[in-house]
Amino acid sequence: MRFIKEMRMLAKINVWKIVSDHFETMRLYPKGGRNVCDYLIFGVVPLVVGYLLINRFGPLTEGVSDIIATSMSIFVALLLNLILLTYNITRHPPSSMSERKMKRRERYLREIFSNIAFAILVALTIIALVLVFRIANGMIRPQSGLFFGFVAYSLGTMFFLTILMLLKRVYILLGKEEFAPSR
Amino acid sequence: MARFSLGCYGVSVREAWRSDEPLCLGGFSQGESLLELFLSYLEEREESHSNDVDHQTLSKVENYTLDGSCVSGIVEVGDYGFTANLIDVNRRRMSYERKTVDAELLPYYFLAYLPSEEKRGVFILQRSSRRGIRTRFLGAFEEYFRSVCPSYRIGINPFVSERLLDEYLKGGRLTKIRFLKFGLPTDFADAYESEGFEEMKGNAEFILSPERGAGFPLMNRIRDIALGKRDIGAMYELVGEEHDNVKVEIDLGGNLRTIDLSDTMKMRSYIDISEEVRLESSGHPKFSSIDRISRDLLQELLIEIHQGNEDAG
Repeated sequence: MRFIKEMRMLAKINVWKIVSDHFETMRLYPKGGRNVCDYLIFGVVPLVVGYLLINRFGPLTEGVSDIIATSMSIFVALLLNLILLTYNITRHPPSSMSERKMKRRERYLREIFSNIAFAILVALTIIALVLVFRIANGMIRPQSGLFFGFVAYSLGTMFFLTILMLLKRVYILLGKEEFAPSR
Repeated sequence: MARFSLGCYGVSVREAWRSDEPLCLGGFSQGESLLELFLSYLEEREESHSNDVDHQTLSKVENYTLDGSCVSGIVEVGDYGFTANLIDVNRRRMSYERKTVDAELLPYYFLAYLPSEEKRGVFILQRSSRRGIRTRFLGAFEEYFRSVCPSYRIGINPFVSERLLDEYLKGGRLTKIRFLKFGLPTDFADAYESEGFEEMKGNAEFILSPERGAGFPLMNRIRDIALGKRDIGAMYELVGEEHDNVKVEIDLGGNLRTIDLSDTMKMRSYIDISEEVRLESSGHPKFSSIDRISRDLLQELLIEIHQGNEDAG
């Protein structure tokens, strides 16, 4: 009972739905199955890249962590703007659209929302991680730099891949909307 | 009222297992020409009825005449394997109960132009309403050819001529253009981008319905593609991206015909001769009338064939 109460207290910061909704957008169309390639791209590749970067450049340093924190902060701000832009699009649907097309559009916009939110979440996680590393540096074991570096590089790769996916989707969205240049 | 039309087919011979230039129609297979082989085939078929058990078809050559490289005649072909009640329309009473072993033999005109010095010949076959003898008569000849000349292969394909195509498209109204992609995109974003796609049996189809009156310039484009003067990519320009196949639907006097632009050799086009052919009292075309029409058509086709050979040369 106490555990449940504690979980309810965390409800306001429970972002699990953002994660699950994001991965729901990767289901195969139209039957809804899973694609093994997606697991490889968004799961295995970040881990491999993280490992390779650690091997090549060694543990995370203060200078690198500063760069990562700064760039992620900028991205968070830009992605928040993108959420507002997408919201604006939802408020102005094209005038002549069948109900079926309207539902597809709504679904598509919802998925983009989920992807943007997930990207922001990953960026915030990276910022939090490097901040912890920065603040606690000197008070933690040297090997922890390897751990923080591996996690930061892996999450950074996942963030980059998510941004690529988002870029494609937003490009298609803007291309379909009325104010986009015609073919 | 029964409709009569003529179907035109090009014929060529090649060596088996090779896709070289076609051979001259004379002088292969122990010195026999294709015309002589065809005459042998007709001779066999004239002696007695030929029963194709697999396709449940009975046929017999009634008569034929040879005129230089041209042979024309009448073949009777009929199907069996089903029952039917034959009713007298005046008395409204059954006059005969057809049995499964009864074959209704109907006369069909045929003309074969097989010059020994040429590499391409022509077959012209009569069609009555929606029935023809391409498979039942020429299909059997193809089998005969394979058995006599196993080292060669014969190709008999619909002849797409400009006149045939104009006949096909004349008066037709373009109703739909279907752009097909085989296999649906697995990413919803790609599917959303291709708005208008309808998922049909695992394939994606984008349908364009031209407005009335807007179909004419498109018909010219379709005509050029069917004749090989333009690439099928000319249709993709309409939607801005490539697809796997394009099919067009044309309304010809209430009948919807579909043309597969990726394989125009499959396009069936028949010259309707119902208005000009004279009929016997039996209701079938008079031989002299349909023979004259066919020979005139052959002359037109030969001009196109020779023109095509000159362009290729």
